[in-house]
Amino acid sequence: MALLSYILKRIGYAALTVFFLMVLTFLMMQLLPGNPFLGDKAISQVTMDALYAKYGLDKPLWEQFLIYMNNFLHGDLGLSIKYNRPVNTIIADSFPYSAELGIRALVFAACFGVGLGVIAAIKRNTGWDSAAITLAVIGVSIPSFIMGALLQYLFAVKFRAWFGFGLPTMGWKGEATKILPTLALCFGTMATVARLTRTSMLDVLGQDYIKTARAKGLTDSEIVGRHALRNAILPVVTILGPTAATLLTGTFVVESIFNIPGLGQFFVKSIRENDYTMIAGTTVFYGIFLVAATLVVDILYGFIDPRIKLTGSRRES
Amino acid sequence: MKKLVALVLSLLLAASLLAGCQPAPSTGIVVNLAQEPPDMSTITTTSTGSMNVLRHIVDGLTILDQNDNPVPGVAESWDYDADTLTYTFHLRKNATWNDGKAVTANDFVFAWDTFFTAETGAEYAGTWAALFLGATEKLNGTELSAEQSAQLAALGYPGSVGWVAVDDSTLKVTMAFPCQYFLSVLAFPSTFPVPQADYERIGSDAYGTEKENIMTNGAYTITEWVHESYMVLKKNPKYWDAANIAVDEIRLEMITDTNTAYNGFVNGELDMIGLNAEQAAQLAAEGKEILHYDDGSAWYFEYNTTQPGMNNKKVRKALTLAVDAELFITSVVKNSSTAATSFVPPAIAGGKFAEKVGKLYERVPTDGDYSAVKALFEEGLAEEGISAADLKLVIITDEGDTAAKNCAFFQEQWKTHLGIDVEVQQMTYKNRLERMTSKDFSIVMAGWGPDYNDPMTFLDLWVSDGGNNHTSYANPEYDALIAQALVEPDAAKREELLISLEKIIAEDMPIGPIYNRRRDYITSERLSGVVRTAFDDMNFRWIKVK
Repeated sequence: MALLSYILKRIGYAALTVFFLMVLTFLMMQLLPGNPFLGDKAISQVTMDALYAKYGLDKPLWEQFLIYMNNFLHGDLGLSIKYNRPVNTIIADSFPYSAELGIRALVFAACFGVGLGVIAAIKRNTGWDSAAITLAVIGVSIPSFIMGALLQYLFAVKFRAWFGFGLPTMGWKGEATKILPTLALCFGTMATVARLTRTSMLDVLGQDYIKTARAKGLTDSEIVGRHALRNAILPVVTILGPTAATLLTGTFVVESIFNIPGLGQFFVKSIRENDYTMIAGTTVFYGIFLVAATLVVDILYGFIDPRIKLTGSRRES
Repeated sequence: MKKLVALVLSLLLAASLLAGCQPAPSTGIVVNLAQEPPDMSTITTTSTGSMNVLRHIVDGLTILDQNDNPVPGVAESWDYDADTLTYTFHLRKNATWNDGKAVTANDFVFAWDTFFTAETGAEYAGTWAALFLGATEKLNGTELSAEQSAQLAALGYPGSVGWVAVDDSTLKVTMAFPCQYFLSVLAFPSTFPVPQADYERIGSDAYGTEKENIMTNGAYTITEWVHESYMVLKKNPKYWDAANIAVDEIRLEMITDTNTAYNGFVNGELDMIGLNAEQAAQLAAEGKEILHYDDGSAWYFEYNTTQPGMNNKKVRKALTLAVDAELFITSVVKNSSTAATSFVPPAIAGGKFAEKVGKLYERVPTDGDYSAVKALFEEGLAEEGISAADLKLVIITDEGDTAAKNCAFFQEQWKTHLGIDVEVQQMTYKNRLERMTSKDFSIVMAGWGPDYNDPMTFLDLWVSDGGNNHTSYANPEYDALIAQALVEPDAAKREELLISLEKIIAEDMPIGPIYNRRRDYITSERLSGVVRTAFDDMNFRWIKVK
């Protein structure tokens, strides 16, 4: 019962968050200077009026919002002004690319990040530690657009010059095209995960029960695998929820560098183009995804860590 | 478990490294379109990117040859009656749509009827309506004059517009004035045919949004379209001129990142890319041949002539001439673009018009002495009773590096040569357009690309009530000359009128011409016969692949 009311409460908050997000997005969109139909070429008032009417922009703001909410509740995000395609279709077409890229990057980042963190913690203050931390610092500080360009230059252009073969620089067709974007996208997250794991691992390794385990004669790998990592991984799980949402919904930079038709590109371009329906549609989709991911982590957390009471009094304070 | 996952991933990575070389398909070419074609409906599109694709998949009555001249497309031949300004087009019997139906005169009539309807929201309708008898009235929902009605009736048109399908393969159309570039306009996508039944089946919103939602009759058909990524065009074996189309497949990549395109080209994945100044220099240093084409655009300052100081033509002229356009090209643009010495760029009419107009002003004063320019500036200000200190000038421009560099150059030139400080404001493209439309600026660097191959596409910008005239410049003499040039049937006399318009611009300078853009690009060694012009930006019908 406690579990159910906890989950219901969380879902209620999540729905409220999405609603406020929609209201805010809708209002802020109106503040964007310019209108979606402005182009290099002036268009006649007759045509401008016709375009406003076509997309319902000639109606008062409150009416536009009600129509928008009504359509949203019926699962319709409207017609993109720039592409003239339903926003639902655009998301359905492009999200799988972003999601695949995101999942690859996430799995890569989590596996290698945790691995690096554990090595750094166990071999604390050795060359291993320094190397892992250096890699982490580089990962956090190099933005993905530089990382992407560097990877392209090295593994595509230079490899071809040196060895006569190289990875493709663009596209999302076949495993080979997916390597560089995945690496470019995962590097930052991997670095964050590595640092977090290291800190958390060091904390856990200093606990009394680890000393007990050691005193009982367990091997290092048993201690790490069975006792330390399980507890040290909790903070990593916490950040993986929101990180997953960020990675999966697409990143403009990596997608545009590698010419991947993901949602991230549509999201950013819609703002530049004043494509109102697309802005609202992608934002709400992104919002729901983020809220849902946080919700799932919140609920999972309750299962992973028995210390957290499902009634949630401690976590909500 | 984790180890296993990591192992599998690393194996996958290693395996794909080995499989990693994907050469460009040998039967076709891969080029960078550099953008997603946003609207592929011939009726409503305004995007040059979309038109670059449409030119390959849909033919109009005419098509443009390598020199931008209109030659037969769907129309095999035509008759022209100069007295009534009427063309009669005879359509090819073997022109077919991708579903096998014949292309008929009704497909043109339907497309034009739809295009010239306000509710369609076609942004080019206002431009082309002036050319077709009755189109402006149809678009604006106004009554025809008695004279127009009589003219239509006399020519045997059943309705209130000057176009009709005489039979399936004969189309009659009457111009509103003796338009000398009319046949070129028929090679412009807005005037391309659309079969009514398919348009209605697909729906006006969805038409042109997906590969299966476009009817094609051209040299190629669309076989794949992954939005914001790439598009594949395959040769249409049933095309009437298929024997002369050498490239079987064109893959158009939509790479917006210039660095990626460059890496892709060097990596052998692309056959043609556009180049920025640094990339062109790099490849030239490696001994590669850099190609150029004139994209037909003119770049100039638009001055807000309502602002104090800016309302004086001497001030505007001084602001224009204080900028060393030659230096701008060599130090900022860094390619073969040319400094403007008149307004209409040399891409128009094969350069003949610009040649006749000649040099209307010097871009760099003799010995580089700008004192005369400064004196002109001060004289102008004195006439308005203000000093340079009262002049608060703001130049607005787009976001991004290029725009910032351009404006920094102008700022420095005005400071050095005129002793004034001009503030630079960068903003989004849409914001800039809004500021221009609401005339909330003093100076803006703007560009204009031609819609058709005639000086008028540039010169009619500055008529008093012109929608693209953000300068508030209003000169009745200019308006009268434009009106006169529009209806002048004699080519030589018309040219004289156009030249006098150029001279008025050079004298009044509501705008300050700076340069005419040329663009650098490179192709792989496999390609030959690449044609890029101001009106045929990308057209691969003449390309041969080694």
